[in-house]
Amino acid sequence: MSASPKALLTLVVALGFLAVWFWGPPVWAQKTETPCEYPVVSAKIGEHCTVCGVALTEEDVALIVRGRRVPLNKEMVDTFLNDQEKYFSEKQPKGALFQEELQAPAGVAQGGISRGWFLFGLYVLAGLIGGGLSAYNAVSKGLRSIPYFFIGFFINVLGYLYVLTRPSQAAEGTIPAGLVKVPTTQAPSACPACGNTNHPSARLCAACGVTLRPTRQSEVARI
Amino acid sequence: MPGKQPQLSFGAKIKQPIVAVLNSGLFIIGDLAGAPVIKYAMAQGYEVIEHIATLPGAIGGSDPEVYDVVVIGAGAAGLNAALQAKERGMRYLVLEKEQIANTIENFPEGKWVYAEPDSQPPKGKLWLDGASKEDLTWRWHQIIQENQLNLHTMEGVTACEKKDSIFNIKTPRGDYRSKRIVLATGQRGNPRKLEVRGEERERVYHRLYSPRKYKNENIIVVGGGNSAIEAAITLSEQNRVFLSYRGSEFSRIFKDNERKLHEQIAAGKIEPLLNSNVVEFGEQEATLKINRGGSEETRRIPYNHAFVLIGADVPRQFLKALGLKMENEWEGSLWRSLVLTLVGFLGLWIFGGRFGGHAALGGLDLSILPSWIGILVWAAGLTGLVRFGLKGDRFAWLGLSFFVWYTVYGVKIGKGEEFWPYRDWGYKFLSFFNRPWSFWYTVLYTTLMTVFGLQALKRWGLDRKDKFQIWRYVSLLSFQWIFFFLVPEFLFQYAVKYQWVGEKLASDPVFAQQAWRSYGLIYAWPLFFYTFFYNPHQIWVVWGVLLTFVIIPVLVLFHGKRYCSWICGCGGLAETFGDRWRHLAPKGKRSIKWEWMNLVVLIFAAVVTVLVLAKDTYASIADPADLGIRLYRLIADIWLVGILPVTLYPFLGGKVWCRYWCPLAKLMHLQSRLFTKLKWSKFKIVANDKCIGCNECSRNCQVGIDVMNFALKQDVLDNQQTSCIGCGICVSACPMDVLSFGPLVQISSQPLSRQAA
Repeated sequence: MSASPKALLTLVVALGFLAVWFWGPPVWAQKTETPCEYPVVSAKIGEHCTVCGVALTEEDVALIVRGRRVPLNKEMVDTFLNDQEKYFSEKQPKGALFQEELQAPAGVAQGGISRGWFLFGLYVLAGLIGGGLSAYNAVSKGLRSIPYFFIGFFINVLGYLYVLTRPSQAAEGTIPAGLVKVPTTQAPSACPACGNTNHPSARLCAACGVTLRPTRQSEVARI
Repeated sequence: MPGKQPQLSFGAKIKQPIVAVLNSGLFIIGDLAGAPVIKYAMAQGYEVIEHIATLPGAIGGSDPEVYDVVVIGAGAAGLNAALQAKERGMRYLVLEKEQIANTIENFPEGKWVYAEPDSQPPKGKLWLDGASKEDLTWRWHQIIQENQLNLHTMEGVTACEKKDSIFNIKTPRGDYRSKRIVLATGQRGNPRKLEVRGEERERVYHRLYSPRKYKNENIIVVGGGNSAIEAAITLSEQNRVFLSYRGSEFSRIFKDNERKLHEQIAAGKIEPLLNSNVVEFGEQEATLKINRGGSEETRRIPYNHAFVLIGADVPRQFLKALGLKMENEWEGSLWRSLVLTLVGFLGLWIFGGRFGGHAALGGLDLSILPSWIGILVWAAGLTGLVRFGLKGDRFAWLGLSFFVWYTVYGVKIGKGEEFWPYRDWGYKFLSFFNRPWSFWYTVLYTTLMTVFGLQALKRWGLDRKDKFQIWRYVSLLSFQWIFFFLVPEFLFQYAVKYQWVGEKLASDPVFAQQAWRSYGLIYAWPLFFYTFFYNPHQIWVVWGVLLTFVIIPVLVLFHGKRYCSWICGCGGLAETFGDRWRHLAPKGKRSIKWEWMNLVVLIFAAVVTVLVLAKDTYASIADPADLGIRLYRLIADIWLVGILPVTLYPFLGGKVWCRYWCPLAKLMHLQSRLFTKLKWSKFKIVANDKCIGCNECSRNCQVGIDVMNFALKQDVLDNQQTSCIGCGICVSACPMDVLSFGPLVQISSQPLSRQAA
């Protein structure tokens, strides 16, 4: 029994997502850190200790952790380092709409950045682009657009590659809808004798009866 | 928000051809269901029978007196339906109140009937090709005879009711019973009347069959559409014609008709009487009242014949009797809906007292009431709205819509500033699963856009195989997901946390703590009002200047206002969630006049921005600047961009904020108008000569442009005369492929053979 290439590729993509889910962002995106090696600078007047909340003086310190300033009472540095994830999480930036001018009321949890939401968003985005590319290509090839959109949406790159391998079909019974249409009807013919406007297939002027030279064949005559 | 009854949309749904009344067995097809082209109407007739044939118990039955289907109307759709019903072996009957193909029979003699679109083969057994009306109807009569269709002419339906899942249909000649009804009456068969004295006289007509039989007579033609103009032009060749029209200009006529009309007026053969109304057709004279710039003049015109050609009336009473609703009709009670909406809020006010809200009313503390009473009151209000809404009360749907969006936006403001009745508890209450409501708002917004965006993408892109619309909707949704979800909610934070933007920038609290500024990556000032203040990092200032004053103008130069229909999240919600109601967008000159409001918002934003930037230098303007910000935030950022427009989506067709209040849309419009005037703009829509006046383009325009007016005259549509946003829906909706973007194609009146020579 052999698995189809499509199924194998789907499995690979799914495993890739799971890997990112469990092991976090790629290595290039992460910074390694050594707890005791954070740069230390003086605290500023007006800052408060991240651990105990007391107002700080210039004799207190601020650690620069992952690029974020963590002001601390000098007695509280060890407390922070021993449970730094707990205290540091309060320093993490929040969602955009959770802006500093619109602080959440007391009691509303801050949430945090969820990797699950992020990956879901990426997946939908990739799906939209994959679906769009697949549908575009399907329309160009005269294939059914809806199934190919969803193939591209759910397995994006693979779906697009699948559409690329499909042979073209002659489009039948569809409404042409491009955006560079040019006039295709022929202009009406003016009667050389009386100036009356006649259908381009007319052989006689409807007004004066003069013989005309049709510029196109009547559709009735073709039947 | 639709009720149970379907709303009839006239000139409408090409790709949703059959309107089926929910669970009733009544199907509407043809012109009445929005197929303005004969070939589409025929296709609907074929498809509706194919659909009915798949339903349980569709064919045959124990009672031989019950028809499987009765078709009302013997036009293109009805005849093709009847032919297909016969083909399928159904018991069927066609009832026609006048004659076969009545609408086409009423065309002037010799009128050419087109069989567009050429690329789509006709469906069913009825014949169709380009032909004179006489040839076409002759062939249809032949087909009816050959197939021995069960067809009763001159037998109109007077009443119809459903009992025990069988329709009882009454006509002056008898009663019929049927399992299903196909309504194919069209909407152009009944000429509209002026309803003035003397209109019943023999010399006053509502149709013109043979214009050339009138010679050397005084003739009054009433109307301003193509039928009236064509009649006037033809009659003026051998008669003296007075053309009476109530409007101030002939705005909806073909380019060729306009040219001929001007020629005949210049030759003195037609006397146009604009701004005029016929008040009486007398024995020898007609009396008209003419508005001459404020003063009214009465004029008596001697006439031999008068032709009132002012369109057709939809058989509203008949349709209403069938339980159908007309599109955009306002029924119900505004006051009742208002009270029910307030009752809903009152319930939440009581409920909120248990969660930190302050429910005090006239010295009475309502928070002593148990929360379940609040829930009951709330449920009573909302249940009432839904119930009356289902009965056809449109105001009830308006109240419900307001309730939902007032909650969504009125709570988002947070920080104890929520709108009544949510103050001090709404934000906290809606912050589900350990996440703030503002996050859920973003999720809700993006989800709505995606779900309805996929529907709109299917409707305009996939179903129509329109690559332009496929990309446009993919673009709108992708911009939303990237720049209004992934970047501000996640990627910005990752960029700071993992120092993707460099250690220096990531360590700078002015940058790192203002994730909300990443909205400014796409939203230019003044749509993103706060670009230049609230202590921005210089990177945001540089980007803001570049985006607003360089990138946007260059985009406008090449693409007009396509930012609104390809990129913007506000426009995106209107294009996706609001797409189903796009036909309800206010149309006409009066609605366009109201677009001055976004200029006011633009000026307001500019003034406040200047005040805020200058307040550090001039302390005396600090208070007005702060007041300006508070007002702008309340009026523009909450009411105008949030609560009001989204509430009104189901009633005013989506683009409410974008069209009437968005300052960036106005800024781009001013730029695009300037570029067009200077002949620098690359944006325009042009038309060829095939317009049939079906109104699909105008009807589907979300910014209310009368596109058909441009198409009929083959005028160029650009941003000098209109606020077009380049969405291309008019181009896609046109069943005749009349409209296109791109360079103007010179339409010549010369035959192609001569052009080639």
